[in-house]
Amino acid sequence: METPLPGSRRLRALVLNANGYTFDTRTGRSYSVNPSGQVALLIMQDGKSRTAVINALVELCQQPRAVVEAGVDDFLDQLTRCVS
Amino acid sequence: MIRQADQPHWTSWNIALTGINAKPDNPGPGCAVARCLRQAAGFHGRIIGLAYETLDAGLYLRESCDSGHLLPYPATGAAALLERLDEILQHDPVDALLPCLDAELPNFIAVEDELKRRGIRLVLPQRAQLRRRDKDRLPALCAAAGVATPDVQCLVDERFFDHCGADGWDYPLLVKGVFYDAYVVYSASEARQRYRQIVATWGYPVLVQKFVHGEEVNLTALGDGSGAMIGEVMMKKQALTDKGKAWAGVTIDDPDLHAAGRRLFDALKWRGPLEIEMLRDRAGSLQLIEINPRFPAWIYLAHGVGRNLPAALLALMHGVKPSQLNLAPPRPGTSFIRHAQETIVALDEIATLAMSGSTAHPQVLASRAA
Repeated sequence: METPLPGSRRLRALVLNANGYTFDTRTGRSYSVNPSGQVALLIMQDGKSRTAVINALVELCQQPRAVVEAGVDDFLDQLTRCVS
Repeated sequence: MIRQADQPHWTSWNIALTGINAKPDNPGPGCAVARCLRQAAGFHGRIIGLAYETLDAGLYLRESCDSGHLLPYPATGAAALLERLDEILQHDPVDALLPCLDAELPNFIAVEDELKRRGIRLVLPQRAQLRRRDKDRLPALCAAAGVATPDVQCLVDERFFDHCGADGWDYPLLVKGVFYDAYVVYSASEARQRYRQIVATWGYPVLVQKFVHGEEVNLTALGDGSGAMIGEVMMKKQALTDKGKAWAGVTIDDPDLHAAGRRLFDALKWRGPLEIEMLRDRAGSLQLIEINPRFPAWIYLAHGVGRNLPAALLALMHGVKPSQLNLAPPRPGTSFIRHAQETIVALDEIATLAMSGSTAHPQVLASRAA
């Protein structure tokens, strides 16, 4: 089963700094996000799907699709917990 | 009623405020309110500090207060307060008064009409509004407003703590005074000790509240009595003192907190400044912990995000409509970090205050500065 994306309202509350510092304007919590995570987050904030995130990262990182899928699902899992 | 055009602009008023105690672990809001006013655009009025102790720091901080006076303790009642204010008014005129402490509000409400007759502007809640947000009445208010809150009850017998688990009151619990102080307790013996401490300091009753694990988020705003919430600023505490007060915090924009604030302002039809303290529990739900009938000690953060609420309150007193207030849009992500520092006070200054109840007159201070 595909890992679901966090709600768009929760994603829009995240403000991403150029160096990966991410501030949740709703909760006041802050996080450090690595470059791949930054790409994934920006794509999701554009309203794109999990598949779109994976496609973009496969092309960008030149990694096997299965590796990228596992990484994205792990990131989505963490993200969902953080913004809930 | 004074027409707006007939009165001097509020930026030139003499403004008296209380709560200028500044103990680092639990400061009153007065010095922060004074700082907001000093930094409000165009402000050139005087700030008069009203204190209860000779060692309240605001009395000696010229950046906070131009002059200062001691007041009788709130327990002495409204008549003593009015008598003392009349003495002060003889040599230090006041155009507006901002009470900044919970315990003194009933007295100020009692003398509100008398003070208005003396030309002093105040924006205070009605007595019934003040009572509705008392800690022991929060469940009823929250039920009316559709806001969650932990169970609370008044205690007059410390033996409650020996059998409370059987009644569904499992430790940890929160033991609180009616006005101030709250302690998390993990056992009956600890609860009894805190209970006695609160009784010795504040008297009966003592409140016990079910403890909620979570992150504290606060909202401060103004009410004009219509039920509207004006100029809200939301903050998440990031570092706490031993007393649970914010030592650092960051502005947030939490739609759930905003909605809860709106419902509470509407239910209370509040007049004046208010602080709402809520906890986001592990399930993500917000629970109301307290409502403070005044500006919070972190109110300078409001100035920091373009919402100078003390200045806005004075503008409302001057007759400006809420829609005309110059308030910036919410600006989440701005932090404050509190710090403590010493001020040096000469023997003369403390002696003058202790013997006369007032700091030296403004002209004396001015000549000393020159």
